[in-house]
Amino acid sequence: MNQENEIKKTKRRDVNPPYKKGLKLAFLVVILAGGLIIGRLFYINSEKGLDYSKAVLLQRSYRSRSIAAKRGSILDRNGIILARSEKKYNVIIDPRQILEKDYYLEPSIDAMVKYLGYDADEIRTLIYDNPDSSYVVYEKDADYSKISAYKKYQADKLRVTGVWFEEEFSRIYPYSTLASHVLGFVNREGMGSYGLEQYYNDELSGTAGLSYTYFDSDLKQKKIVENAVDGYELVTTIDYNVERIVEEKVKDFLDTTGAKNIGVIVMDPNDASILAMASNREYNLNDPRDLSTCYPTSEIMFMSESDKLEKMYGMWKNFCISDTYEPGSTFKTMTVAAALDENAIDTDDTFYCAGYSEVGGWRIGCNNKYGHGTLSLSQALMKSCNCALMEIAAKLGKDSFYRYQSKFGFGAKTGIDLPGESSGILIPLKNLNETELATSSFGTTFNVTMIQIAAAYASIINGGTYYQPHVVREIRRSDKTVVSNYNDMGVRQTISEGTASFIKNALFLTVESGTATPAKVEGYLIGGKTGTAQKRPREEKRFVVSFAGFAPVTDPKVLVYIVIDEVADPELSASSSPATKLCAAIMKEILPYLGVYPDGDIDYHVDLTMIDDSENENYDPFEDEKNTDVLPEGIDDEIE
Amino acid sequence: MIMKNTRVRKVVGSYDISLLLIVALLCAFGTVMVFSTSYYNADRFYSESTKYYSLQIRNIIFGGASMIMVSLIDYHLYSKRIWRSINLLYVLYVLCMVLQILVVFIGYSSNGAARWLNIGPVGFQPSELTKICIILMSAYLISTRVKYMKTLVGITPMLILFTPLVMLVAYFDLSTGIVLLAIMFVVALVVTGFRKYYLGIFGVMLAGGLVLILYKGYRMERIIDWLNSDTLDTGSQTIQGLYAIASGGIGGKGLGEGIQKLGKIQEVHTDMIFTVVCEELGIIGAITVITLFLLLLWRIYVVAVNARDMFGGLICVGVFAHIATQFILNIMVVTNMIPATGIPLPFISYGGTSLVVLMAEMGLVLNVSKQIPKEGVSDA
Repeated sequence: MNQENEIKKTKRRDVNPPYKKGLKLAFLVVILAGGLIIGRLFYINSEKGLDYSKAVLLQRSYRSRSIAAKRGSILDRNGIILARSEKKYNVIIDPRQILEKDYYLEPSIDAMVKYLGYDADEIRTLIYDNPDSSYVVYEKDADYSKISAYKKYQADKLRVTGVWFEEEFSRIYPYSTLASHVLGFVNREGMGSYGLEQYYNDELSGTAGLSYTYFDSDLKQKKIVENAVDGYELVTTIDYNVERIVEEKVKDFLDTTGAKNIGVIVMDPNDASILAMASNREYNLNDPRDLSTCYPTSEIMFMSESDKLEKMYGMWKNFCISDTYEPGSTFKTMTVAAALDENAIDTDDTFYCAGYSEVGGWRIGCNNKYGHGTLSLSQALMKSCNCALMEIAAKLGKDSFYRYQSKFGFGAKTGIDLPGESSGILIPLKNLNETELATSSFGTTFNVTMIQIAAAYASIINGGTYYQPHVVREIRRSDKTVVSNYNDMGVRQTISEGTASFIKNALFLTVESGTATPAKVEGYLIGGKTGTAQKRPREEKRFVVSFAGFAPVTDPKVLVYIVIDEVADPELSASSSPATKLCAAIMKEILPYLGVYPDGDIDYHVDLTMIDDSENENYDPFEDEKNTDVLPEGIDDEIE
Repeated sequence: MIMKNTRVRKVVGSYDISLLLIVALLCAFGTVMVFSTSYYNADRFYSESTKYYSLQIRNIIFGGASMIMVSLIDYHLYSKRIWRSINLLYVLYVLCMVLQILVVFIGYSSNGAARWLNIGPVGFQPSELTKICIILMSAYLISTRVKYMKTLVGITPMLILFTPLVMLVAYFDLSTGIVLLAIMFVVALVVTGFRKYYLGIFGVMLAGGLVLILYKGYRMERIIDWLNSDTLDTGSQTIQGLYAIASGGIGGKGLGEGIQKLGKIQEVHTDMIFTVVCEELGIIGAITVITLFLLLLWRIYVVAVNARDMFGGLICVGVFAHIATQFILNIMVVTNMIPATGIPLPFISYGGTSLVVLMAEMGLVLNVSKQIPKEGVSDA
């Protein structure tokens, strides 16, 4: 048996297949190759080990990615969203990357055509036109399903490259032009521009997150993700419906009468919170560089780029807080209130108007050049008599006058939470001489902003408390927890309750039977004061007309202040009636909305001292409406 | 004698257990590495970190099944005539030709080169099947013409049959073409030894290869990149692969601790997987993998030289050539010893068709091993 095996073994050796030698050689070659490879591995490690290990870490440690935070929404007082942010994806094409290797081009273009739906020729042109660029935003707000399809396809394709996706939050204003000056917009860099977007930029923008990788002491990689913190929400005091109505009425006015500028502020006088703020320069917040809301296309076509930019800055500016003007007769309310409060005059005092007054060597005319005759204090307001006001201011004295100007917030920013507020210019106390005091008494020769007048009126109407005007009521986190609120913005006492009550009644009479009768709205007790101010240069006869109205007189819920700069209709240019009528139109619609319903049978009597008009033969009530040359030529130069 | 196709003998041998074990080890190791290399990208692109890992397990199940099936089929069946002088191998050859032509027209591309056919939901790479075809055909054509192999006449039928097939493959996928040629010539060379006429054949092939390289710009570019590998920019896959290898050191950073797979090396779970083996398991891990391959080749070698007949023996030689070529070329590419080209590392790289075909080849070798006559049993 053993022997047999021996033989067989020999035999098997004899019958070795003919390929055994060759295969053995091949195996040797393989072993050799294996040895060579192992040698190569040692070589790479010893020669480049340190450099390459460092390179590996270096190219990692820079890998950090910022995670965009969601910008907070802006809501109206009832929770209607006025501005919100939505996640969007931008498609970025990297021509440089695509052109790096010949074989990237076609597969990459194919993939873009197939999965992103782009035009092959267009992409090719784009790539060749921007060979050195690595960042061409090709599509904004791309469809997410499209992107994920592309990503999925691209994942294992070495030759498909050069397309990146960028997550971005885009700002959406659902009502595009609504409250554009209050809201502002977000510029291309993601920063708030104008309005609340700018003023509360820090609160709204939140904190961007960061995702980065670092190496610990063992060279183990650690990935750290700091999540983005979403921005805070702003709950404003704006009422969407009031804002909408006001803007509609402004538009109606522009369509029928027209003016250079209009500003309207609707305020709750009880806390100086802004219900609506509008002007004729509303713009599309979703496309803030579009001038077409303010200028006709034919005009835009011929504008140069710098022209356009200038027009844009003008369009974005908030007329209600940035522009200053001489307030005119609306300011008389403040002069009378101050004098009453200081006991410089009494509610029963009477004044005589001859149609002009001699002050400091100047003959300063009344708004009624034929003279009002003898007037009571309330009639001085009702008829807007300049002569009476000059007399009152003289009794009050310049120190008190100036003090009350400041008390009512003139000459300083009100502090409203909007950017770009102007402070206006008062005549400094040291220059406030007899003449200046006289012209200032009826609201000329000093400048104010609309918001200053509105806030001052609010303090009178509400019984004497000056509140800081504001647009934001509450700042809260995205989970609705409150960060801060601005419900109590009371600053100081301006006048006494009694003074306030007299003024309210006098202003009621002004609307009932004075200069502001067009502001009447049937079924409501409306009070208010008109204003007509001549713009400089005075000889050009351009006017700023205004009206501050409030309702209901018994318990004021709303204050509407309107300023119309240069009414287009020359017949009406010096008349306050466009402003009073616009106010009536607005009041009529917003009052029911604010829960103040018309009462058909109002029994309200005001018992203030009245001097019978018939005593004055010269008095022509129609002349009250007309503003004649109130300020004598040259007086401005002296005052300055 | 052994070389004769005598079908009377009963199958008396058994599976080569060590071969089976090595294959199982390689597959298991491969699966672990596929997971380690792919979870990051799979999560990033598909939000499913185990995507490639579970697909690879599916591939192994299919591969295992194909290995068992093939190992149960007597390899002589393939060369058995079914009609006149036609046998199954010719059928397979025609099938491969048809599939390769189809790829040209309706194949879809992965990485820019059309290599795939979609059969229902399954992507399929016909060139992998062509590898089996070349192995079996070479073994068959040479074992039946062994007497003529000393001259050019013997190898001519192979050249005639294989040239169009290899050209079809090489046109799109030069590296697979090279693997196919390597299989064919290794099988021929081990039988004939070196002959002068090979110089002529190689000369022609080199010229053809050059044409293909120049035809597709990226091939030339890769060669230029390789020649200037010191100045390659860091965006290159080769450099990133070398970064991985060099930063591994002797013992590696530890399984799963690699950094380069995190977005720096694309396709890291397929052709570049060896770089992460080096990065995570170090030179020790690399040597282990290389040793496993050498052991596997040794087992195939043993089966080849003990095969019952020349057909079986040469089948094993073909499989040997296939695995050896791919394993050496893949690692030489990632270690930048030769220009970059896309060849997967057998059993370890992710890939369905490749794995199933490799396992079928293992089935062939196992069937040959099963038919080895045992000592004490007559072999006359």
